[in-house]
Amino acid sequence: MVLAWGDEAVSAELEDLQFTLGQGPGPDAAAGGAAVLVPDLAVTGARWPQFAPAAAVLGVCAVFALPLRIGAIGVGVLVAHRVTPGPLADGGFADAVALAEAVTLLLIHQQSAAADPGGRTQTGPQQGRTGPETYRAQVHQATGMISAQLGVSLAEALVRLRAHAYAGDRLIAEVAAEVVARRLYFGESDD
Amino acid sequence: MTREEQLAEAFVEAADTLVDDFDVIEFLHTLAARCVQLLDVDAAGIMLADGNGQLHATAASSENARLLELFELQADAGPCLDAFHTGDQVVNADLEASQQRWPRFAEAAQATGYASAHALPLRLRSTVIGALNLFCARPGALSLADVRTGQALADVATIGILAQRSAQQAELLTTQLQQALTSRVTIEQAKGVLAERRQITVDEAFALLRTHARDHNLHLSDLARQVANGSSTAADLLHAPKQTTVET
Repeated sequence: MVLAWGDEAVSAELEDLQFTLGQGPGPDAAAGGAAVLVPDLAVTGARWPQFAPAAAVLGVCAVFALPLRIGAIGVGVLVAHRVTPGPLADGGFADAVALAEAVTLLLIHQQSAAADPGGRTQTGPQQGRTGPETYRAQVHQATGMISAQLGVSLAEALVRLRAHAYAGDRLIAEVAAEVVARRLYFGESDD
Repeated sequence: MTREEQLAEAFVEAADTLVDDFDVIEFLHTLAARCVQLLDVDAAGIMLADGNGQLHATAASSENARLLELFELQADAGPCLDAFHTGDQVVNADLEASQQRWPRFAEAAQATGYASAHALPLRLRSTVIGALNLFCARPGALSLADVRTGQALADVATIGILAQRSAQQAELLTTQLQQALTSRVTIEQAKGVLAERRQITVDEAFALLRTHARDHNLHLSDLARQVANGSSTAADLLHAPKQTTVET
């Protein structure tokens, strides 16, 4: 799953290029799990001997690829490009990271809904209140536990956790705490 | 091992950050453990800031849930946040007297059994990337020697983390920290999966992960990813050991 940001036609070609060649900032970011920021393709392009010159022909000078993931849950990569070289503007990367985080959740929910239309996970990513005391670690631990309890992927487990919180109008952190304390179990008989 | 030897080991470990195969999370866990070993403190933890200037607990001397909660609370108010924003040390904060300053944190820390908390900035010149958090159960000040040693460890850790990149641009630092945070989340997910599969607590699960990584020479983050995804390469870890007959 690639989200592109920039001139649409060029973005499509850039994605095609990386997919066909199997190399580029996008694949690297997806595989490595870390952002790959290339402010000047002319300088660092040697890393991708087929991709770099082809991207240059398209007029692309800078590429920024951010993995879309929550821990071990990876849904794809966000790739932005620019026709002028240079790093992301002040705060630009922080914004891109925030966008990537929001988009990742959105995609996880969309993928789950697509696989199970009208199912028990009918909830948007904004649902499920997150209060000031989001004890994040427990949310991720609960995700792992639910994944093992239901025998589903981590992505699906996270969706189920959030859906449960939304359905009961509870904070995600609260539900997660109950799961970790083993007071709440997501066996198939649940819900 | 004498204190000097332990200290020397701690600095050698910090120098290890300069090799290619460096695992930030593993390093920070070791650093936290070293602090408890070398200083007169009962718990330690490292908080790193993400691209938005938000502090996250990245490693702690123990995976105790209540300790981790103390770090999470500091995202809003606490010694770490102050140290991170000012770049100055926050030492000898008597929790009893800090109720107004950091209400929720002071209350939770005292409930957990700590009497004082300290935060040393992770700082290189004008760049502050986070803070080293220290907790003491006994009341009273942290000795000057301990503050100096703690700061020295924090400084070396900071240099090690920042030295990972050839050009010190803000983006590259954020990338490294983003990866550290992703690793952290993956570890939490793995703890959950393992705790459920083996029917153990998440704390026990973490101990198992660390031991397995060490025994099989794996990066903790890599192992965590395998376990979180329930991949077959981590099969022996995900299932309880079979009863073995004693060899004679």
